[in-house]
Amino acid sequence: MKHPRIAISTITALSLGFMTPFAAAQTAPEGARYAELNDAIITHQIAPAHEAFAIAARDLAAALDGYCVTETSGLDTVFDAYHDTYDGWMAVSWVNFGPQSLFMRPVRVHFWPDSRNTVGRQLAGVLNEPRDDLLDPEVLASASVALQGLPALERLLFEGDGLAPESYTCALGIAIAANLEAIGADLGAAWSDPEAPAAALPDDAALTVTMFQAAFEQLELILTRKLAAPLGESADQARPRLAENWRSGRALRNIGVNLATLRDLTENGDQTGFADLLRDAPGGVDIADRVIAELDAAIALAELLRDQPIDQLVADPDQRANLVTLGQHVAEARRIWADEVGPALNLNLGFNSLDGD
Amino acid sequence: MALSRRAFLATAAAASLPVSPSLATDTGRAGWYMSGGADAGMIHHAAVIDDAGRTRLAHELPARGHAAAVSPDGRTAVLCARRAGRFVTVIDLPTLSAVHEIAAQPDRHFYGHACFSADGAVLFTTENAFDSGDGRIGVYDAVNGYRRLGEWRSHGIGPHELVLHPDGRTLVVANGGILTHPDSGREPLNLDTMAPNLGLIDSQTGDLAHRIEIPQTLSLLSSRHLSVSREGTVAVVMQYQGDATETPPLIALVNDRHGLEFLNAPDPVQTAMANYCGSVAFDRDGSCFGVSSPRGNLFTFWQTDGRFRTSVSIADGCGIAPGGAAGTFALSSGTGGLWRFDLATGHLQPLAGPIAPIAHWDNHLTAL
Repeated sequence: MKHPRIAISTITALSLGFMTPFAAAQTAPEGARYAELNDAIITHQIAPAHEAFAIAARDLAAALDGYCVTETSGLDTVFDAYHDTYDGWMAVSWVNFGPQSLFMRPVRVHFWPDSRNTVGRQLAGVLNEPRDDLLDPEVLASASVALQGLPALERLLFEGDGLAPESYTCALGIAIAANLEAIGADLGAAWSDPEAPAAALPDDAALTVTMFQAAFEQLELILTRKLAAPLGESADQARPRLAENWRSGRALRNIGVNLATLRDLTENGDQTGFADLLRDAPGGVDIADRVIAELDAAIALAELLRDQPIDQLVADPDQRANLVTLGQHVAEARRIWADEVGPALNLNLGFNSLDGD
Repeated sequence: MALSRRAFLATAAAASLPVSPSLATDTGRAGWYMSGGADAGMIHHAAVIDDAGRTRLAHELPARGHAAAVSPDGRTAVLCARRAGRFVTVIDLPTLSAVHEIAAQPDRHFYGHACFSADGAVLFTTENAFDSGDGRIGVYDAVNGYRRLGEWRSHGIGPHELVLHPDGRTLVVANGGILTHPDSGREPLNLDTMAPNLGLIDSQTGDLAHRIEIPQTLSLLSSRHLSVSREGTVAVVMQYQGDATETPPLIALVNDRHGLEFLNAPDPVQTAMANYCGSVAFDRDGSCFGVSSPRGNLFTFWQTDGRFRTSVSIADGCGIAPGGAAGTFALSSGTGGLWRFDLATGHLQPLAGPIAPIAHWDNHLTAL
C-alpha cells in the first residue's frame, strides 16, 4: 500500500473483525490474572508516569521562572523542560478512564485536536487584553480549558516573537506550568490510591477491558488523527497543520512516546503486561510476538523521523512512504489488538460500540 | 419459536392487560430500569433492575433485543428486537412476566424502538417495508392483544427511535436515512443518496405534520436516536458514515423557535466521540441531557440550552436513562456495569447489588 487513503479504508474494513470477540474463549484468564495485570500497570506504569509528568511540569515552571524572573536560566533550558513535560504527558495520554474522567483533566493539559483553533482564539483574546488574575494558577485552572495547558504554552514559546523576560506572556507561561504541575500531582495522587481507579467498575475484568480499550483508542488516534489527517491523499493535499504539536516539531516524537508506552503495557520486563496473559492462552505466544513486532517496527520508524518537521515529512515522497509504512505497522498492531488479543484474553469489547445502531 | 408458547402468552395477555386510562400512577417501581442484555453465554434477555440494583426479571428473548418502551401508566413495557429482528416482547410489570410477543408481518421487520400513545391504548413501532425500503410506523392495539391496526409512512428511510412529544399527539421519529435489506444483513446500501430527517407525525391520523431535514452538507449523519424533554425540546444524536479523519457535529437540538441547532463539544472531546452516538436521554426535569458514544467509550453531558458540561469515560458505555433526581442519570455498559451519575458533583457510583445474570447491557436503558 503506497497510499495513505488505503491505510484509512483499511481501518474501516478491519473494524468488522472486531465483531468476533464473543466466541467463548476456551481458557479465559481468571479474575486473579486480570487483577494482577491491572495492579502491575497501575502501580508500575500509570502512577509513576503521572508522578514523572508532575515533576517535569514543576521543573518547567522553575525553568520559566529562571528565564522570565530571575534570569538565571536560558531559553534552551525552557525548551528542554517543555519537551520533557510533553514527553511526560504523551506517556499518560492513552489513559482516558479513572481519575482522568473528572474535571476535564486531560483536555485541560492537552487541548488537541483543535481544528477550530480554539487555543489560538482564546490566547489572542488574553494577550490583547492581559488579565492579571489568570497569572494565579488557581484562577487559570477554572478559566477556558483551551487556555491552561501545553498547546497554549507551545504557542507562547514557538509562535510570534516568543517569550521575552518579565513579559505578560512569560508570566502566563509560568502560570500554565504551575497549573500543569497541579493537575499532574492530582492525577498522580489519584492513581496512587489503590481504590480510586477501579471504584466505579464492577470487577477486575472490567478494568482490564477498559485499559485494553483505551490502548486500542490510542492506536486509532495515532492512525487517523496523528498520521492520516496530516498526510492527506497526496503530497499536494497534505495538511501538516493537522499534525499534533507541529509548531514545536513534536509530531513524530509524540507518536514515538505514545507507542513506546503501549509497548510497555504489552511487555514490560519483570512486570506483568498484556503479553504475559496472552502467552498463557492458546495461540497467544504467536499473537504476543506479532503485536510486539509491529509496535517495535513502528517505534523504530517514529524514532528515525523524530526530529524532522512534519511539513517537510508530508511533502517529501520518500518520507511520505516512511510515514505510510509507519501507519501500516500501527494499523496492523491495531488489527491484532482488536481481532486477536481481545478474543484470546476474553476481553469482550464492542457489544454496543460495534452494534451499528 | 414455539407456537404453544406464543399461544400461552396471548392468553395471559388477555387476562392481565386492563390498561387504565389514568396516567403516571405511582407503580412502586420508581428507580427501576429495563434493558436488553446478554448473559455470559451470550443468551439475550429482557431484564428489569430495581432501585437497589437487584435483577427482578431476566426473560429470555428469541434473539438480541434493542430498546424498551414503557406505557404511560407504568404497568406495561415492551422490548423490541434489534434491527432486522421480528419480535416485540410485552412484559406485564406488576407480575414481572412476559405476556405477549408481537411478530413482525411477513414483509416487515422491526428497527428496535417503540413508544406508546398518550393513553396507552396504542403501541407504535418503527418498521422496514424492505421490498420498497420505505420506513413505516406499525400501529398495534395495546388493549386487545396487540392486534396490528395498520401502519403509517415514517416519511423517510431507516426509521429508528421514535418518541411521543409531550403534546400527547405528535410522534417524533428519527429517520436515519440508511437503506438496508434483510438479504444483505445490516449493510448500508445507499450512502451516496442518504437523506436523513426527523419526521413529526400526527399519532392519531398518521399525517406528516412537519419534516426536519438534516442539511445536505451533513447528509452522511444518520439521525438515529432522540429524546424529548418535558417541555418539548428534542435532542437528536447521530452516527457519521463518512471519513474517520473528519469531525462533524453529532448532536442537534430541535425546539419550536430555532429549528435544528447543531452542538459541538470542545474539539478534543468531540474527536473522542468517534463520530458515533448510541443513545440520548434528558434528565427528569429536562434541564440537561446525556449522550453516549460507545465507540469512544464516552458519555457527554449538556445543558438544554446547548452548552457542553462534561464527559465521563466508560468502556462500551451506551445505555442512558434519567435518574430519580434532576441532573442525575443511570448509565450502562456492554461490559456489564450499571451506574448512577450526578452531573452536579461529577460523581459516578455503581448501582448496588448483584446484577447477574446480565454480563452485557444492550444499547438502551429505560426508566420504568
